[in-house]
Amino acid sequence: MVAALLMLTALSVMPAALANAQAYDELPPDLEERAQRIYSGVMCPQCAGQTIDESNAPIAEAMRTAIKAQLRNGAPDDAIMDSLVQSYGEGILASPPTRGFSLLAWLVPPLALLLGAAAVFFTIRNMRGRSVTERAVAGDAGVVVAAPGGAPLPFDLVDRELGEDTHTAEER
Amino acid sequence: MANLGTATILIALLLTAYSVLTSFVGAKRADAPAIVSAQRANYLTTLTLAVSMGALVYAFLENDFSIRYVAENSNLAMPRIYTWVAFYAGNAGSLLYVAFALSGMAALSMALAPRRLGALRPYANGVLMLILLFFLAVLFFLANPFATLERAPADGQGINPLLTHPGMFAHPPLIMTGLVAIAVPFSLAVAALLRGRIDDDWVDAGRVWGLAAWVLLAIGLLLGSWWAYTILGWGGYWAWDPVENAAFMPWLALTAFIHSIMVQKRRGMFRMWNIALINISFTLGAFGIFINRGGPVPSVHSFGASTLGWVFLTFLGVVTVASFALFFYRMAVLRSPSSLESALSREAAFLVNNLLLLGIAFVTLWGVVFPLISELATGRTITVGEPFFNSVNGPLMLALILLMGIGPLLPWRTATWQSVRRALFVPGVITLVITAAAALLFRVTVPVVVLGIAVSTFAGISILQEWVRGTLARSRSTGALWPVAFGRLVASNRPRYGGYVVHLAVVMLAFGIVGSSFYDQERDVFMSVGDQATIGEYTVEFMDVSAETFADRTERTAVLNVTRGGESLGTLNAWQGVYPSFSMISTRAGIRSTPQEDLYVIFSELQPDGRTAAFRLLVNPMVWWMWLAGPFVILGTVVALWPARQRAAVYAIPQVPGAAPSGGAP
Repeated sequence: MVAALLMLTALSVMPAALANAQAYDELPPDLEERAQRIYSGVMCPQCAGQTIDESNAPIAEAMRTAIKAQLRNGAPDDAIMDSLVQSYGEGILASPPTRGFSLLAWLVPPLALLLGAAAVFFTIRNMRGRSVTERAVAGDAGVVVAAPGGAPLPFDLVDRELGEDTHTAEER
Repeated sequence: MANLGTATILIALLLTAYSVLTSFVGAKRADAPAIVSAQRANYLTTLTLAVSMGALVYAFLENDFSIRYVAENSNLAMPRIYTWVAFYAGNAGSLLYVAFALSGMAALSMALAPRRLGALRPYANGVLMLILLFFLAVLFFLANPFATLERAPADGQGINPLLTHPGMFAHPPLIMTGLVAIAVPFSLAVAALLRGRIDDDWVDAGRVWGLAAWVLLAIGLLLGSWWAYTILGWGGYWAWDPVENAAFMPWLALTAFIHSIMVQKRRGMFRMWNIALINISFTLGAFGIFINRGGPVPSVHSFGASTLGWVFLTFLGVVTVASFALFFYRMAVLRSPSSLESALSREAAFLVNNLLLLGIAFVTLWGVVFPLISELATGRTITVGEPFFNSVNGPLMLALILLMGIGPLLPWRTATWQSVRRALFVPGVITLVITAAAALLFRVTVPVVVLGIAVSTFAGISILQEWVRGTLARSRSTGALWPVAFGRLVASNRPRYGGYVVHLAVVMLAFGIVGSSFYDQERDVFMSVGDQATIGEYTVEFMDVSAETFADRTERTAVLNVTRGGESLGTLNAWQGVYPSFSMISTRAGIRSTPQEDLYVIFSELQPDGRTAAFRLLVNPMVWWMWLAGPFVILGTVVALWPARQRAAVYAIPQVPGAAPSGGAP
């Protein structure tokens, strides 16, 4: 985040070469907050995978300066974003827009999660519903395992298994 | 050297092909000598590839620029120590490294394979050798690191300056080794499928190698973050870069696998699911190699971008189709015999854990491929960057950490609401107190952060509670001293308590991520020597700048004096290297790291007057904890993997009623 520069005492003795370092001008706090929100949503066009917030490439610096100027002129955030999209294309936005085809990017993850959650839910219900006989059949169908759930287990065995592996151990 | 190198790759290729053939034929005909011969060919391949590796290292050390790869990735000025990094800085070298790592893993896993693996062994050997055959074929026919130039240049092009960092000695090889190590549990699972008798034989070895791959990737990812943090100069450590994601996704799937496999080990359940999980992990690993080696997406990792993309895409396609086709073909025999007794049980918690982990992996995959989909569908390029991943994956990660606090408190089979309430009560109360205190003390008002603190604290406290209660109970019943009782508690169930150590590391990571994402401060300043700037509570004074010129670079060091509230905190050195031949400036931040926060100074530019410089100052809270997590991840994995005494052969305990150990299955 390009925070405001307090030039402190040095300002008066700054060399002439720096006189045009306008980018370091301070924005009022409310504008600065908006500026930073915009920076972190805008990609630096020349640096792979960095936003202009993160990059210190000259182009990122120039874009930050331009955004600051627009903010000072009272432009709303949307208008600034739109103008960026106009000049650089939609790829300049760090996250896909929530309209048109790009809306898919946002919709698919929750849908997939819902599907997954439903799958887990039905798996649990299904597995709970499976009866002892079904399990025995499954055991016969070529699965090589000493059928566990096949016969009711003696209680002491259950206890022994639970013994070390649950916090109830200490309570017994 | 070039001839020796090419010859050894060819020999390795032939040996591997021989091993594949004899493995499968031997397995089919139960021909013991053939099976033994196939394994020996496996071991011999590793030795042969070690010679290839040595030949390339020698060529680098001797500055043999007649070898194209050496000329492209090093030069006379490169410090010799970076030979190791230059080795895998390009495509061909990294593929040779990958082949060697895979071959080493294959030899090691077969040499250490437990006897009870029995008839699975030749199949697993065959599958591993088949995968290796692919890499060796690519090496020999398409990307030979020993290809020579007609006329050797006087000097090489040099190594990319970004790579000359200590993190680079370990980050790339760990990631690459981790990705190919997934081939071992994968080959065991495929062996089980091929053999057609799906029992639990592969589970132990599969779990051990799954954990090995998991820890290699985990440490590799952490080191990569550390590298980015110290050298990329934006104060961040994770950017959801496609290549980062490519290593992150298989790691997530493996995390699901090493949890879920415990259910099969303990209860004989989820057989089908575990094989699906390891298939997914390996497929994502192959996807990672595809993205990394000539993938279609731009990334900070595009060091060795190449035209090999289609080869790895084909590999990815074949792996995906073959492994899942085999899986569905054998599905009928994979049904698990035991059933879930309650939705309130550890088994069910593991299912939810798997759902969340795979959910995060899916979101990440979706984010990586969506720009390609969009470009194909609409012709427009869009970016799926950090804000997308943070806002979609963030809630999932929070849910996962919450589950990490609850899951371990649930017993196997079934729990009652009453017992769960009792177990959650103490951590819940402590969490509320700590969260409220933190919110008031540090004036935390962002709801997400409060939630993050609460969830992470809860997970941490619930682990500590498990330790304290277990230790106290043991100490009471045996009369042992607390440290002794604690040691025995851990020894009684290493997978579980090792897992807790790793969970604690995850809590540290969570704190670091929450702290540094929401409360970082940042300023860009110009300072001349003698000037001061403030950030947060710190005052930074620019004391001096010095320069030193080397053959390939000019190094400049800015010395800054740091004070806080009038108290001197010593000096920081912010470093930059100017590499004229790469027209590149590489920075290394000056960092003052404390558990509370990092003061982080980047020396980004020196003005022509030589006395005025641009700096970027940052305060990053709690990043320190993220790096502490690394040792804990290693420690926890070592505890979980530490070989137990020979009673390890007990799976779902009810299967072996007489032998159920009172100490729980190790």
